[in-house]
Amino acid sequence: MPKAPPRQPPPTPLPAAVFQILVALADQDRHGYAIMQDVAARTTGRMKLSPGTLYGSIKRMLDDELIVELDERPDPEDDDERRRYYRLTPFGREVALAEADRLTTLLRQARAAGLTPRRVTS
Amino acid sequence: MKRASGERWYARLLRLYPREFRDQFGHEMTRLYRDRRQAEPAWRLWSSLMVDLLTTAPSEHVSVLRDDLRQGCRSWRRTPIITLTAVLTLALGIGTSTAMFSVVHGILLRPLPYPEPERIVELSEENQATGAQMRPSLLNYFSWTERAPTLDAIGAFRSTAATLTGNGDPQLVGGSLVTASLFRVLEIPPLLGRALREEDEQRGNPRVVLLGESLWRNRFGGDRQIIGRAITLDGERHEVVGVMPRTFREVGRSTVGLTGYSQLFLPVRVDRAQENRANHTFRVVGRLGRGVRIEQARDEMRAVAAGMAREFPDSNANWSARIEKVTTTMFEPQVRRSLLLLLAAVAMVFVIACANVANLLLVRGTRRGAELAVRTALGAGRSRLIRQLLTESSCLAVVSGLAGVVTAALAHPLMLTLLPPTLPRLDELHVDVGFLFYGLVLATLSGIGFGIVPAFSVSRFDPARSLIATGRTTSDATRGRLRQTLVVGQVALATVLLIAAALLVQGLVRLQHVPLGFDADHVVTARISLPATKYGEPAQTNQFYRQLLSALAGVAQVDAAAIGTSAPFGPGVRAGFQLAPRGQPPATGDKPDLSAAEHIVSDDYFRALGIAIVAGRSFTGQDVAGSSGVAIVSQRLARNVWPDGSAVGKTIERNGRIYDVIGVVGDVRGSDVQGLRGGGAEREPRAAVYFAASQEPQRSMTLVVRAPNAAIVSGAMREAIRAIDPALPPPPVRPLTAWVADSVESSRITTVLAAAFALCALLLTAVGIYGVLAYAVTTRTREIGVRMAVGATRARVVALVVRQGMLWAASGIVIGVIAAAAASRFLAALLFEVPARDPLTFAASVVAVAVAALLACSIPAARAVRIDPTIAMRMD
Repeated sequence: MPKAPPRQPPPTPLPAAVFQILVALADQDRHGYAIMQDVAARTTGRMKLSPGTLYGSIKRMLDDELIVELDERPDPEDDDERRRYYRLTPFGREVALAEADRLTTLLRQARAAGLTPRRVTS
Repeated sequence: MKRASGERWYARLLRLYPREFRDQFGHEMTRLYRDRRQAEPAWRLWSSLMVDLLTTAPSEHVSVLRDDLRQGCRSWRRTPIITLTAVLTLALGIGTSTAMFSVVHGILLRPLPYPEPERIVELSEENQATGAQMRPSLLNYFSWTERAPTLDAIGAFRSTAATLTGNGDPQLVGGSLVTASLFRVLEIPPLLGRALREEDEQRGNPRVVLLGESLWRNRFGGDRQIIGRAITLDGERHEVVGVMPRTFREVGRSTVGLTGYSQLFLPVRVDRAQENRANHTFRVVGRLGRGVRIEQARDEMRAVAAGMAREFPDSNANWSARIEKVTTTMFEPQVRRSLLLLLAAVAMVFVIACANVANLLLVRGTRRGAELAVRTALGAGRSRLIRQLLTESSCLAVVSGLAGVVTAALAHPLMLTLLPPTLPRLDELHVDVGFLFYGLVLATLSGIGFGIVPAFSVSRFDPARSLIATGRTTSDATRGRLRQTLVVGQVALATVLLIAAALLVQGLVRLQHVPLGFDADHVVTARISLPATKYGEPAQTNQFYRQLLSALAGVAQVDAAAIGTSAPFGPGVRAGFQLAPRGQPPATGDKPDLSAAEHIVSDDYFRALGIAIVAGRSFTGQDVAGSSGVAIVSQRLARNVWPDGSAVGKTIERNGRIYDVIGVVGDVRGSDVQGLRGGGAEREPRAAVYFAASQEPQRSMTLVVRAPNAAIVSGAMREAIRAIDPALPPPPVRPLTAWVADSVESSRITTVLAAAFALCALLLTAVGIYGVLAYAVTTRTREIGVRMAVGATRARVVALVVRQGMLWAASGIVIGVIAAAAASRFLAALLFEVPARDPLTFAASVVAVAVAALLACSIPAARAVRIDPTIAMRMD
């Protein structure tokens, strides 16, 4: 299907699910279930991506060229069935950095205004 | 590997997602299910999955639709000329159909503005021998109210006019004389005050009046304190007891009088002893009892009428009661047929327009072959392509639909001025949300109609061949056949419409030239109503009119001035009566038709109207109140009653009085007591009897003056009236030709609109033939080039192209002629003196369609001739 002219940066702020997927893919390529688990672990279970949200977001991120699907399996030891692995594109990394920057600025401003969170989850 | 049943269920539920989404991620999602199933308890997993499915599946569909729409808009923008042509064609088609359908709906289909309108019926009297219908007499109405238990209420009314004085200039106001029971029939509560009561009908009780909403607002500024105040009507004090809303009006046919809709309602105050059963001037409506079928009421009324015929043989023998739903009686049958015909015509134009757009899309689809092939190669399935193409056509349809609704709304005022003002319920029509509804329904229908064929045909092609070749393929041939079928259908529809329009035009021409029995040119009419208070005595009325007529006769340019109860096709009171000829041997065999229209006229009436005196003489100054009763009969009546001899010298009886027949005059159209303002010109002249105004003075009369122009009469009449009675408002004057023109207005408008639609259809069809043939020439450029290279002459090339186009046209014409012949029965009722299968009209229409088709073929043929063989043969 012919695509719309690419490289239109996605609207900010990014949807929470999209940003979490970008973060999950920042250090390594992952398949859907791994992304889901990673997000759940990083947010201590506060954010659980449902399959529809996960793959709906992945579809749009593929369309926006934030991520790509890998042709080869990164881990040949993986299970018997072929899973689809996703990787961050350089453009996706740019977008994730921009979003992180935006959030950092926001957090700094909040702190300057005395709005310091009592407990920060890592 | 064998799947667990939960996984199978989940895989099935994934069908809720769009197909592409499923194809892309379905496998992954079931895999994910399996992973989670091992880690989570089933109940928690399934409840979260169900929530997920129900929230994300719809949004994925919306997202696909959004993509399709974006894609569709982009693709339309790439072919601006095709897009604009299609939108304009459809907008016009949707716009005209919406406007026409809203008129038909507003007039024929929308329920009348009364509670349970289906229970309201109209009652009339019907001659059992001849089938002739008459308005009921007031005494028969009273008898019916006492004897008809299946009817909850029966009410009577007739139009009247009164002069309103005080509070500004004297004003002639149109109104209705109504019985109190009418309010129970129509069940419309007053806006202010109360409805009429039975005691208001009693002579001797104070006079009361109900104002119509328009009079209340215009003359009394909508004053809410009006109740209880007195107004002066015809010089008499009337207490205003209520104000009726606009929806309360005379139901049924002929709602519009000279002064428009009823603006006031006066109670019928009759002295039953003075009334006569043969005096048929009232209209009667009733409300059927709950659960009573009209057939029951019909049977009962027949029995009631039979009883009355035995009881009052002089007036009621042979007469039965007729009962019809008011929705049936309120339209002349022609009105209903005309509107349906126009609706059918506009629908055909719409279908032809859709066919043109479908053809455009087919051509566009062919040109998009490569694009679609790329998309198929990239994995888009057939259903995906169909959906994309249908979304595109729906996009186009919705835009065109909105443009169509705007067109319809803009065309609405124009349409109202085009429709005959006598059309019932015309004032109820306005632009409303229904417009949007019809427009969008039509847009949706057209979107599916013109979108589905190209979508299926375009999607059924071989991507490999489309990618490597631009030559013709089998799917090309299928599309070619589709285009041809559409063109043949268009030609057939256009032929039907053209034949119908041509027949109507012929009928109209004959109608406009039918001898009317009088000469309407240079005759001016005016309606005068004298108030009963001042002109209670017949002698006073006689004197007024004598003075008025002699004043007018004295004006230099006035050729003749007269008065009559009505002018043909013009305003006035039209009563019918049952004739009692005297000194006649009982007729053998068929009983003669003895019903007649009653006219009361002054001496110069026939001269003023140019009605021929066939035998005997007209009224003269000697026929006065004291002398013996005289009557003049029409030729038709003379033939009906005295087929074997002269009518002059015979006597007739009416209301117990004997009249000598002193003359016979020509038959006059436009005096039908049933029809609106004397019926249309297509109605046969009614048998008529004329009585002398000097012997039977009437306060309400129509003035007819023969003079070169209306201005002379208007000025002279105003002066004369002011000199005789300054309190009388001068009535408006109108040329008789205008009233005559009104009588054919409905036919004229139907014909003009049908002809306009037929020409539209012909034009669109010609464009359709041109488009398809032009495309065929483009695809055959190489073949034509080869033929020319091997020696085909220009004439042969022209013949090749034209033959193809004319073959489609001929097939369409044949189908169209057969369809028109089949539909002729419907059309016959609308045609005046033209056979519905008139061979000459059929032939002329066929020639017209053929010529249009030939013209449409000539442009592609000319282009084919200009093909350069050397270039054409180098083409792919």
